[in-house]
Amino acid sequence: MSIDKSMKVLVVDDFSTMRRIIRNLLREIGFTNTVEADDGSTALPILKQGGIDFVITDWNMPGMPGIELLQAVRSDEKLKHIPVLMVTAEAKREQIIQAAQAGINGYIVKPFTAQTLQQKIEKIFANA
Amino acid sequence: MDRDERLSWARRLVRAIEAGDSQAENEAANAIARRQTLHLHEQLQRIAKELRETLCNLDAAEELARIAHRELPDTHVRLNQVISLTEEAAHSTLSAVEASMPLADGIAEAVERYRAEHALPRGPRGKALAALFDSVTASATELRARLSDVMMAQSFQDITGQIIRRVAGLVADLEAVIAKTHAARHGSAEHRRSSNAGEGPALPGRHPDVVAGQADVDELLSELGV
Repeated sequence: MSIDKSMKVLVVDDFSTMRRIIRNLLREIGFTNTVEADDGSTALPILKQGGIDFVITDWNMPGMPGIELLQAVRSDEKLKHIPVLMVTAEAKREQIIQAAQAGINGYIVKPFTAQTLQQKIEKIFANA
Repeated sequence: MDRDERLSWARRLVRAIEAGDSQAENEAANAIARRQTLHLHEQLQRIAKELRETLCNLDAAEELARIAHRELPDTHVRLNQVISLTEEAAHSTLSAVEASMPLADGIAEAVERYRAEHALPRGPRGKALAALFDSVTASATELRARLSDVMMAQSFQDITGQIIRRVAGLVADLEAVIAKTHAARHGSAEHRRSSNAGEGPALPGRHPDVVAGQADVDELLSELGV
């Protein structure tokens, strides 16, 4: 696998516990360049500043939910190429379909394992 | 006492007065008076019953208003307190885990370094040392994996937090509805959350449309070409 481990990852979740866990897991698999946001509306300005290579986002957040962040990323010429992985407790089939149609690259339902996260990241960058 | 009976007592009263029979007159007058008392008694009972019911309804309305004004905002605060307490606890655990992981790594690395720099003595002492080193390395690896489990287990806080937030939202809605009903005798939840806001963690057995696990998600996504 030849993923560039120095890529900058944006972790978006309203719970600081979950952001910390995801960052720890990313560090375990070699990604140390991470930044955080607590919902879509704080994530977007960070994305627009540039330099983000990959987004991991929750769905259900106060303010702008993850699905709207995804839609905003996909409709922005400068951001649309960035892979987005949804890590969420939202588990309705219609939601997964909605996310797929909005252009999600991967979807993990919480609670999840470290192995699942690693597999999905590998899958996203194997396809890229 | 029906009409015929009343007429009969009235005629007996008239006859007794005309005849000057005071005993019969008393008897008839008492019968009529008793009937009046009975009627009054029934009316009083009915009024008492209505009064009791009205007071109960008033009590319930007062109780509801008290809950809306005092208990519900308290509940909201308490639920938020649960979120912040569990969040703090989860962070403490994560700090301990983050501090422990390098220690586990350090033990394994120290053994490896020793082995790289020093030849083990021949004979039983060397064998014993090799076994000891293997055992320490295995334990350090196992410890690292268990620490990782402890870290992942802290993700409960995100799930319970989302559920509690949802309940807190419901409490706030209820509070608003009661306040409105109390003020204007009608009211309803004023907004339905947009579906984009998300549903929160699924309740087991409550939503038929929910996937059963990551395997279901993967299957659905591959059908959709993701």
